[in-house]
Amino acid sequence: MKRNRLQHVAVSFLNIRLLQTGRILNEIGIIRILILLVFGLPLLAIMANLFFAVPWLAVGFVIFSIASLQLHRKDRQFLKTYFSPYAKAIYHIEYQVLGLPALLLLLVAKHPLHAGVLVVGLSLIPYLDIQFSGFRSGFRRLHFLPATAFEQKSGPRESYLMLLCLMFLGALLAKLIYVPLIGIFLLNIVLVTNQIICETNLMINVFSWSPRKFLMHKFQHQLTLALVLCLPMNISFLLFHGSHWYILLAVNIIGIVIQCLAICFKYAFYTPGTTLTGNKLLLGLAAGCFLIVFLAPIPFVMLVSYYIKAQKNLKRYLYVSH
Amino acid sequence: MLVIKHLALSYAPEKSVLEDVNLELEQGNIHGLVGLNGSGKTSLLNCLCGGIAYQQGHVHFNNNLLKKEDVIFLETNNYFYPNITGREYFRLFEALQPSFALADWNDLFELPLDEFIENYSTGMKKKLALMSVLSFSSPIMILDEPFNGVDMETVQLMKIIIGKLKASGRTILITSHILESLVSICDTISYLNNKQIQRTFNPQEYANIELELFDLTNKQNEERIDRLIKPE
Repeated sequence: MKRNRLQHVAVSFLNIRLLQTGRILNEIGIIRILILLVFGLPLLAIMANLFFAVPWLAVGFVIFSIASLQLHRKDRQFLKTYFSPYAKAIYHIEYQVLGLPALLLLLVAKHPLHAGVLVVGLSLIPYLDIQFSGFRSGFRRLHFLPATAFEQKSGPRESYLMLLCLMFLGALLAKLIYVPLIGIFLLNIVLVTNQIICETNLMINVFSWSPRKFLMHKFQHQLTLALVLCLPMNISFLLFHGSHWYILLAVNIIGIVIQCLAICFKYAFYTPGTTLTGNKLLLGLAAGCFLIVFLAPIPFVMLVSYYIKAQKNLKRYLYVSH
Repeated sequence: MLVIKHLALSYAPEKSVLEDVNLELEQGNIHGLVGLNGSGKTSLLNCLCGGIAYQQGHVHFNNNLLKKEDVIFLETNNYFYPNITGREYFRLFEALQPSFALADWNDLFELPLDEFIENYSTGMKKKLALMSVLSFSSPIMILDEPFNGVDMETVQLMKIIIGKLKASGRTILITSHILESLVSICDTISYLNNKQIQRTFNPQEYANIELELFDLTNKQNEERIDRLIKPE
């Protein structure tokens, strides 16, 4: 009887996950999947090197990423209600499957101790059940930020854990030249995650500015926040590797372009009160271009093109006669 | 006066939502707009506030083409930006509309401004949205289902506010599924059906409005329901 129920739960759960995967792949489309693979391969190569060169960092990165997934996953109540008492077992299996490529890489690189730590770390993640509302309340008082900078209040409240970890790790491990550079790049990616959420019509109407002034204002706020948060990593990098300042400059420019692109994408497709999930992919492709040198100019072209599109779209919501 | 002439809207070819909509709304009056679900009420309101570009017709306000700044629109959905408090939401409006007296308005609505908006109830969110609309001084105010989800006391409060806005010369266009709430405050009520404004009622005709609009459909539905629910 119990075995039958377990079988039923496993089949139902696999069905749900397969349906979800199918829908996501269908939404992305074959061409985009191929493009993503092309862009994703260099990133995978960098990641694989990390497992061979600095295995502790790689283990930490994988555990941290999956822990972040556990803390942010929105199906916890669903699993608790409909898959009880197997919810924790499902988490265990999912996280071990997600960590499997990393485990194999560590074993290939002959780091059995690190592999063991990874398995243990992943086994502990399902027991992470931190209530976020309490933590987020600590970030309630952000009165020093300007009244119009609501995205810069909302974003860090959503991903403060990730931001704090990146800032501290990036600054503390700055002796390893690529750590602060990767940290700055990732921090810029994390900071733009809430730029897919469209505010209400009223929150745009209230500005009564020209689209150009409006966009410049958004750039200014977002870039100020990004530069302030990246400051510890920038300083640490310069302390240890001052002679390589030009690499730091390039990474910061990439960060600036990513921030501006996210804002342009948002307002180019702005529809009041919606979440522009498609923009994630667009932004991922743009960021991926920076990993392949000869594709690096593409995001700059996209920036100009989508800035014009954003201005055009915003005319509908800012003050123009219709 | 707000004049809508021959307005037509379609989202795709052969999928028209509005056809030849004509309506004249007196300035400084409260106008109601009723219609069945999916009849195009919200689409019409979106056309007026510029959210949707219509294909035909024109809209004039006081003999000039209607401009974005002439209209402020309270949408039916209570969507707010996540992870911000009520106070932060209002600070945005205060910063850009300095005449807006947040504290005084909140004395009326009594919202917990230091809470995150996602923790507000449906009624609280509606109040929050209404307060932000009130910070604008546009001569035309469009309220899409303002009474949805709010308690009786707040409905009364909203009716008083809408009455005062009318007295200050604002033109107000309201939609509601609750006919009674419109009858008590509107100077005219228009009925949108079959993609057009079918009829506009004056206060003298309000007593028969329900009968005229729904008599036939009510009879048909009653017969159907009789077939479904049989006496024991």
